[in-house]
Amino acid sequence: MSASLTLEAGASLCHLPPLSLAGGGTLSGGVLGYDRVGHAFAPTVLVLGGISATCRIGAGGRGGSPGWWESLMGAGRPLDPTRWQILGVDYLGGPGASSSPPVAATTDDQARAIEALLDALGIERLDCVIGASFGGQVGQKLAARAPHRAGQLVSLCAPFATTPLARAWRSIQQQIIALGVDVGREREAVALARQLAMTTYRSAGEMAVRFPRRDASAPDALAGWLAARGEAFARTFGGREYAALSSSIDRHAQDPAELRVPTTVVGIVEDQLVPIDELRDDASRLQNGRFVELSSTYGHDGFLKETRAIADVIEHALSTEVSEVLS
Amino acid sequence: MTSHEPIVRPRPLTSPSTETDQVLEKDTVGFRSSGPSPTLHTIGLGSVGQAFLRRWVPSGCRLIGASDSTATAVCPSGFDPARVADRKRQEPVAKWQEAESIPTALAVQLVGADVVVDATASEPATAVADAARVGVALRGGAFVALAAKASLARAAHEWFAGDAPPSLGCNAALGGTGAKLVAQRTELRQRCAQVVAVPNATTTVVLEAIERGCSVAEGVERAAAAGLLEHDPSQDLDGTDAAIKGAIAGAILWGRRLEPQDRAAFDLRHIDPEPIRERVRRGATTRLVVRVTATGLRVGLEELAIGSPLAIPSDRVAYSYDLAGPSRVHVGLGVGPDGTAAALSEDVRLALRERAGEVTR
Repeated sequence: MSASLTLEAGASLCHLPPLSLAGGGTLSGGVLGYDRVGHAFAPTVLVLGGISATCRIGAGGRGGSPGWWESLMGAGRPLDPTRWQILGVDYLGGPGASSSPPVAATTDDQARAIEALLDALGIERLDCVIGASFGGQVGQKLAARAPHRAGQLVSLCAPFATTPLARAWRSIQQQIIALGVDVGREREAVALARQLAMTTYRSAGEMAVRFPRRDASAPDALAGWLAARGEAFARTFGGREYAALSSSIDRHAQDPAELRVPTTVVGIVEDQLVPIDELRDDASRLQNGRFVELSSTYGHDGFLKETRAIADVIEHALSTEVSEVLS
Repeated sequence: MTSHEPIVRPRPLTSPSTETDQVLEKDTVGFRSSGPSPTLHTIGLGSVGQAFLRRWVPSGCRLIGASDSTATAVCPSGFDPARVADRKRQEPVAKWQEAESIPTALAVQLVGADVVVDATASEPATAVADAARVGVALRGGAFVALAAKASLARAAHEWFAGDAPPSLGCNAALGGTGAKLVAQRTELRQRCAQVVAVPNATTTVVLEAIERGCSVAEGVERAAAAGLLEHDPSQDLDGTDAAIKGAIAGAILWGRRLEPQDRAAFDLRHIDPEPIRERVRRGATTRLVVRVTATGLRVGLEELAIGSPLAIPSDRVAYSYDLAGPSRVHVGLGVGPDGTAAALSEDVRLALRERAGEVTR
């Protein structure tokens, strides 16, 4: 019936039309938070991050708080607001300004909400959709259901379907949250689940360097690092939001052969969550695709940390004529 | 009316009760309510009242009284709400066998229901009497769910003066956002300096139509077809309705009665549509905005960015509470007869849960 939102000054909202949800029910009176930087009539790039990302990709010269991809956005950087209109969204059911649906939104629901945003903004076609991790999955759905609206897709560290091991890890996280809610310790449970998630986002190699086996202080340092990551996450994420987005990843399935949009798939060798071999195999089934293999000691989080390598991928994509067959 | 029995006044519902547990007090000759379920008296059987009866009466509530402007009908064992709505469409309550032509305020007292749903048309001319009727219900221990706005504009500053909320819901009067305002009013009282709202869906329909190239008259026709026009349509189009809603929000927040009529003249029927269409070409939009502070209010057309939280479509309303930096935005779907009825129902359900000790408003 009603929604109550606390918005920072200048926040942008799209009031969504009624949205039928894949899980049943309808989101009525929903809103989608978004951020738009750059000239309103410049070619538009949609950028979608992981489940903890918000619509704020970067400050883009506006001042204020940094975004989740700050190093890649700005004049002279790949996401240059002097050349592009850059669009980011808060996910339904996520920590930002967007509505929390009555049932967990699927990646297809997220894509349809984004379509409604594009309609509201009068954006008929995106030059490029760049999605990382969960954002890549949403991008896959958007490209699948509305190929006429996406000039190309760049999907980074985003499985077309989750692996059993990744599903198992997330199942444990979801059970931790459920247990925490049951016993009235939700925030601690979210933090603990996030700690587990962090071990899947990074690589054994990075951990070995950060917390050497023969360093007596390493165990405490490791525990402190995990606790800090978990606590930071729990400050902005509730259990319901976390569980909903986590389950959405599990339920995502997109046949790469169905994508007609030119697609660049980026995988990281050390990514535990998205095994490189499976991603390479999926990419081989694209109608018009290109596979880029990167190496990063940060594993899955390499899409956040490997600024130069990711910048190269984005710059290549944004400079590529859509009509080219990607190879 | 099949039987008259000495009037009894059931105690306010505080816990699930059985018939044998009910403490009944003798009073004057009138009507008796009996039974374990919460009792409901609906006043106002127009489009909103009928929508409420057809779809939105909370399960477990027993409808024992139904009043229109002509009479009150009572059934202690409970009416079929949908049947009441159907009968009302055919003839006024005064023609019903079980009806009594008594003043509605007296009917409220005599029926003595646990919950009174006031879905009467909002008329400034009857605001004093309407507010008095609400007072009768409150003194009788009832919870009152109000869709009518005029009485709220007149007396909300008194009803909501204390820290604890009154047994009164304004969710429907504020387009489905009243419950949120009441729930957050302590915080908002401390932090909010200004309310900026787009509270009138009729004008949004008209403006959207103008933006698409229609005339003002065509826009008004669309609003009428959607069932959005007030009993007196001029109240929508001259900003009165928006001003009243702003005054209600202000009264609840700051405990001051603001006079909706104390504002510059405005009439949507006489606006120039071209500036509105020019804004669309620039990627902006136009809405009828009410701005409210503790000292007054103003209503007028304002340009809004497409991404503004107040750039709402016509199926909803929005109230933005300025917190000196961030803002708290309430978006409501209580628009049109069905939306308003749903908002009434939300108030009633919340009140019943509160009385059962499940929640605190």
